[in-house]
Amino acid sequence: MKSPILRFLVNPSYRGGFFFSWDLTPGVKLPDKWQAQVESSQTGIDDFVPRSPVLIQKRSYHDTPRPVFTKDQEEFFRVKITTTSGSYLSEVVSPFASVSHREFFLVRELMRKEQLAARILNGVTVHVYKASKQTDPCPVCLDPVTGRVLNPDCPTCSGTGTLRGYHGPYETTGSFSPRSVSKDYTEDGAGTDDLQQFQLRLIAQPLVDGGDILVDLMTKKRYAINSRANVAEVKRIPVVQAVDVVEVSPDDIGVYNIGVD
Amino acid sequence: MEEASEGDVIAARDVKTSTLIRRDHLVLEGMFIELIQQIYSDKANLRPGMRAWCGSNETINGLYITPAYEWDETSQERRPLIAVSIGDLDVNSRDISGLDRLIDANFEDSSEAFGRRVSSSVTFVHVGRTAGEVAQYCGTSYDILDAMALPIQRLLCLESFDVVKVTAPARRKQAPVEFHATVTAQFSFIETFWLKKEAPRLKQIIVDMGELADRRLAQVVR
Repeated sequence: MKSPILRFLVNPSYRGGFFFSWDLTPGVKLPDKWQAQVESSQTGIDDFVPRSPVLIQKRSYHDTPRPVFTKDQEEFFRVKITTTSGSYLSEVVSPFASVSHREFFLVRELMRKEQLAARILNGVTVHVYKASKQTDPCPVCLDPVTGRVLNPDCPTCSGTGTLRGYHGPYETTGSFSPRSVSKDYTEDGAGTDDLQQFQLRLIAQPLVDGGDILVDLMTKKRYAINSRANVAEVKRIPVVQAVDVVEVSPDDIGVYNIGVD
Repeated sequence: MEEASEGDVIAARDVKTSTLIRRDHLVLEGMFIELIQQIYSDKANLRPGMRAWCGSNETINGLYITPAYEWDETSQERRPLIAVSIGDLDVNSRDISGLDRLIDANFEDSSEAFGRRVSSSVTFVHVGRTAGEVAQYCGTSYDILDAMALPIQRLLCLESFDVVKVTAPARRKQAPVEFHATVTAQFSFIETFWLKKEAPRLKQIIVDMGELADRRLAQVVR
C-alpha cells in the first residue's frame, strides 16, 4: 500500500505549543482503529521519541501544555501511523522554517557540494555522538534532591544526566583547520592545561551542540564542542556549520568509551 | 679545666633545628599531600561512586593528587584531581620569647636556642568534570579535615589547624567543561633551633665563701 500520509504540517507556536496535523492520501483506505503518534527528534535522522500519546484515528494533535524549548534548532517532527498491516512514517518536518520546492533542492545541492569538497580536498570522516536531551533522567548518578550529575563516567548516562546518554554515531565529512596548541599551567595551579584547538567545517546535518562529541575516524581522537556558528543558511535553514572544537585528553576514559561496546 | 679542642667547636653556620628539618614549603607540601593521600586511600572515607587515590600507578582510573604548579606532560588532564598548594609563610616571634627571638642559652657550650612562630595556609583545589563531582570531593575533604582537625594538629606537630574556607564549585573551563572548588585550612607551628657559636667559652669560677662554700655563685668554663 502506498503511504497513507499525504502531508504532515507543523504550525509552530512557542507560546502555546505546536499544532500538528496530517492529511491522508485520497483513495487509501486504512483498516479500522488505526493509530497515529507524533514523534520528535533532535537530529531528524533517528532518535525519534514519542511526542504525543497514541491517537486513535485522529488527524491532528495540539501539543499542550506549552513545551519547554531551548534556542537550539534541534526539533524535527514526524507522524507515525500504525495499522494492522504495518507502520507508515511521514516526512520529517522542522518547525523553525520552511522552504519551497526549489529552495529545498538548492539546500540539498549546497550540502552535497560541501560534502564533495570535503571528501576530495582535506576532509575526513567524522562521527557525531549527540548528547541526548529528550529522555528520562539517569536513575544512577543524579543527586536525588538537586539533580546534579555526580559521576561524569556513569556507565548508564555517560555523564549527561539523561537515561540514554549519547546517541549516534551520525557519520559526516568535515574539514579540520590546522592545529592550534596552548600548553600552560592552569591559573589555580591545579595541573597543566593542554589546549589543542581546531575549527571544523561540516554540513549542518546533524547540528552539533555543546555536550556533543565528535570523533575523527582517521586519528581516532575525540573532540568536545567549544562554540558553533552557522556559516551558510537558506531562509533560516542551516546548511553549513563551523564548530570550534578542543581535543579531549586520552585520560578522559568516559569520553573515549562513548560508542564503544 | 681542659681547653676545648678545635674538634669540639662547631661553626656558627652549621645550624640544626630540634627536629632536624626546617618546615619550609617543600616539607609542608609533602606533609599535606601525604595527609590527603591517606584520606583518599581509605574507601571507608568515600561516598558511593567516588574514586580512591590511584596511588603510584597512574594507569588506574582513580583520583589524582598533585602538588600545585607541577608540570605534568603525561597525565595533564587527569580528572578528578586534587592539587595541594601551600600559602605564604608568615614568620614572627610573637608571644614566644623576649628579645631577639632567644628562648634559651647554654653558656657552657656557647649555644643559643631560638623560637619562631610560622603561620600559613594550605589549599586543596578539587577539579572535576561536573559540578556535582567536584562538590562531592570538596565536601569529603571539608568533612574529614574539619572533623579531624585536632588529631591532624597533633599528628603534624602544629600549634593550630583549622579549616577556614570552602568555596562553591565554579567553572574553570568551557570545553571540555571543568569545575573546581577549594578547601582552605590555616595552620601555625612553632619552630625552635639551636645555634652554636664558634666563640670562646665562658670560664668557670668557683667561689667559696665560708658557710656559703657549697654555693657556686658563678661558673666560667674555659
